[in-house]
Amino acid sequence: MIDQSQIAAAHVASTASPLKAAKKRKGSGWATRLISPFETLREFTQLTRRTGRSLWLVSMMIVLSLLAVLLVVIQVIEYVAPFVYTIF
Amino acid sequence: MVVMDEAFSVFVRFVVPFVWRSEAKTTAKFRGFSATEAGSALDMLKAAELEKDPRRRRLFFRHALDEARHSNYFRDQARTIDPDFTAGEGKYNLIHATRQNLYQNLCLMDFVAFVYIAEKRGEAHFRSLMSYFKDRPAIHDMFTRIVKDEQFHVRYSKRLLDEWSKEGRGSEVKAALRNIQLNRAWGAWRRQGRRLGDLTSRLVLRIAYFIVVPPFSLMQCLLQQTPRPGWKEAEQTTLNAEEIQRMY
Amino acid sequence: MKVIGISAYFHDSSAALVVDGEVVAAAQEERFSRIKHDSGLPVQAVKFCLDYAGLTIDDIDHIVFYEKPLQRFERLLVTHLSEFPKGSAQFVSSMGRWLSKRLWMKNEWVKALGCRADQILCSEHHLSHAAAAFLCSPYDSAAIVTADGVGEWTTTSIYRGVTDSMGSRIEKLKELVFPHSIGLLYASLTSYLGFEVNEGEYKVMGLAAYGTPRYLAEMQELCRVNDDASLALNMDYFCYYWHPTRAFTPALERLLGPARSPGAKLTFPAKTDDDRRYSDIAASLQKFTENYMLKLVEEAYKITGEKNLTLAGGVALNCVANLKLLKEGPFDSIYVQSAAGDAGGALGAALYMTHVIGGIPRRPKHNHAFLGASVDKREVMQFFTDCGVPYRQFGDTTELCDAVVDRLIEGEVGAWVQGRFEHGPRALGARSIIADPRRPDMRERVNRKIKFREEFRPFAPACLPEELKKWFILPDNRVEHMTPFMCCVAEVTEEGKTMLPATTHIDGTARVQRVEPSHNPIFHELLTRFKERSGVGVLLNTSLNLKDEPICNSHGEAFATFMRSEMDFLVVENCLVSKADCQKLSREEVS
Repeated sequence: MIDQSQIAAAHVASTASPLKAAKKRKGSGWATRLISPFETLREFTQLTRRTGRSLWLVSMMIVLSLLAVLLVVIQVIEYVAPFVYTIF
Repeated sequence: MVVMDEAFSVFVRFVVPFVWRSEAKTTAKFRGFSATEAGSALDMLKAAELEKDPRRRRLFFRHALDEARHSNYFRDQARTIDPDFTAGEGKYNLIHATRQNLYQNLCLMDFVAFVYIAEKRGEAHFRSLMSYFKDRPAIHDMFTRIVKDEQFHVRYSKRLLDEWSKEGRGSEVKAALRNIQLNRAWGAWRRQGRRLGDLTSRLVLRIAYFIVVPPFSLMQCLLQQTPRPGWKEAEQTTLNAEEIQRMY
Repeated sequence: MKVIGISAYFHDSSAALVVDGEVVAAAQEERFSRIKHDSGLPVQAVKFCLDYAGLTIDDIDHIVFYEKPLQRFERLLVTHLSEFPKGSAQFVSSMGRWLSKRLWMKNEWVKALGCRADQILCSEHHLSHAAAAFLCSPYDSAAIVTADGVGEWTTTSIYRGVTDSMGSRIEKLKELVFPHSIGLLYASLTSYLGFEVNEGEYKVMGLAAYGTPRYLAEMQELCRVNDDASLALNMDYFCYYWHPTRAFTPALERLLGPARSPGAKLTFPAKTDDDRRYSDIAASLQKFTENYMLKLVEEAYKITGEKNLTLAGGVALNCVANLKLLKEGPFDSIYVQSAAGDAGGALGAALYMTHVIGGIPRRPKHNHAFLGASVDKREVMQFFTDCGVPYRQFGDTTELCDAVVDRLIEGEVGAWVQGRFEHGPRALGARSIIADPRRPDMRERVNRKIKFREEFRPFAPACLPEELKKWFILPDNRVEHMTPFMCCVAEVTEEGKTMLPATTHIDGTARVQRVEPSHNPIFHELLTRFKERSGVGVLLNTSLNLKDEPICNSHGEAFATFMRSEMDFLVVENCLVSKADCQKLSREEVS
């Protein structure tokens, strides 16, 4: 069973992570949340380039991303349900 | 709220003969009630577990025992009407119940307000059913017992709210009751909206599948070789500090 | 270094906290949310881990997800493109989930956990399994075999793990990729036999003992296994990769006969031709899987040359297959971690970050699974007192154990809640239902009236270490690391078959748990007391939960489970509640 004193000690002197030097994005507000999807898309492009499927998967991903935006908007429907009929 | 309660009672009285029109429907409704009561029991028991005030804890615990008892009543009544409804499960079937984690998700006053409103609705509903089944003694008796318990639940929750009001927290109590009423309505609104949104999303994706996907599928078939089954030598044998930061 | 590992979004979400190489806490989300196999983000499990260690999310250096989401997404896209136009329904359901939420998981985590995006890292699925297996094991070097349904692309893989003066390394050697998977074969046939996937595999294992493996030729038609342990599924029979709800095609039903409807009654012993067929198919599948796993570990031995083996992935939970590996496999020693399935991926991700990338030296791991939340004695007593539940409090564990043994000897069945709950799917004496295994009627009683589950399901024995050889036949020293976690079955001795009918399965085996005093002292004491009174140091031990519900976490949940079933008594820490006394619980009026 874990020794509680070890946990206390961990607060005082914990071994540093080798990734501490990694780029730290300040805050976790709307800016980070907005940038994060673009980073995901960028990483997906890098993945498909690595696996040799970049030509069609990236194109499809762009289309699907537009769909994703549409789906996220549609999720807002739960708040505006009675008005959706006017959209269609 | 009184107006809404009366409207609810009138609505229930009109709807009951239609909803409970056959033995099969009655069995299904009892089964549903059994599951709902069992879920309420779990919620009240969790509230009793987490609540620190001894008196409220005891009340929540009693409420939980009542709900569990009601669940068994409904299950047994369903079995009496239709012995086959538990086919394949034998005599000792389990009524599945899910907890909504109400006590954890609401503050204490909102939770008690929720209990008060829900039990008031339940009591009105079951009173209507008690009257509807007056020609069936066994079911009538069952609802009589349940209504008595529900009236106790309404009383104790009302007592708690009144005590808070007397402590000078009357506006908070009113706000809690209002919030719960609005949340119920808002919850129903969101449920319908979610269904609509889900349908719309599915429609959009289905259309996209048949319009957008074919050219990419063709490209995939032409340009991509089907991988042969069998062992693959690992392209990447390990994960280093840079790679673990990536999502791929 | 403080690292949280998270597994989520598929099944059995889990969180684990590792602080400077010490596993502080780990738990599955289902224990808190009460949703069986909860696949959502394990917010409550993360909160538990942080609260247990007295930390906040800002204190955490890294939060490591157990797989690469973009690789998994790529596989889904490629599969959909390849299977056009068959997979429209699957496309709609999977893309709906991914495009609206899962692709943007960092956003969800930032919002739900309050962490920063830069804290979030991503391991690999099978690597997380491998890390959990190797880094929790007592070995300095080992072959690691992982086998499950599918991760990103990988379904089966062979690794080598080494810890030396330069640190720890886990190196992937080779892999099999989707859709060819022993795990998906097992899952598809589980679905064919009418059980739920990711839940019913244990039931298939139990059902197999009632049948004869006369469908091996058909199994080979479904799945060709080569000499090098690679395999190829015949995809004419399977549709799990494009159908949203079905795993097998009509061709499979033409080959094996009509599938069993979910929930349809099974008779034991089989009274109808169909029931016999289902049992035989289960037996054939089990035998095929055992033979394949043996071949797989032989291949791992050949390419790694290691003496030790660690297993991980859902297929490693097949304890019947593990016995075959112990008896016939080439390795000197085998280790399977308590949470070998996806729940263990969270722990593996955190350990990999800590030891392999972080370079923190491995410490000897406590070889137990009690990493979850505990129960506060004072809170329990206060709860019972306030609620008017009659209970008896004991001053010391000996007195408590004696009182429990009295009841067990009388034939009563009880709930046993002690200490921190277990990490993984097994109950190991922290959240258990216990009974006297000597009574022949006990199995039926516990199955029907307490757990409300199928009659053919066997129960496991918890045994004192010194009694193991008396009741069970196990390959000597190889089982040392398997038996604390119930990771393998054992043949029951002739004396055991006579004396332990409730925990001996129809085929004469039992999934035995060795209870060490250092791991679980009070459960060990209970067993010791039971042995003194009965002459048998074995108890029936099954998980404290009702059918289709997660194992209990808190005292309130234990009490609810106790009241909803026909258990006779409940023990929570040093309090004992009797069902007979609870019948008098009555309503208090508010005047």
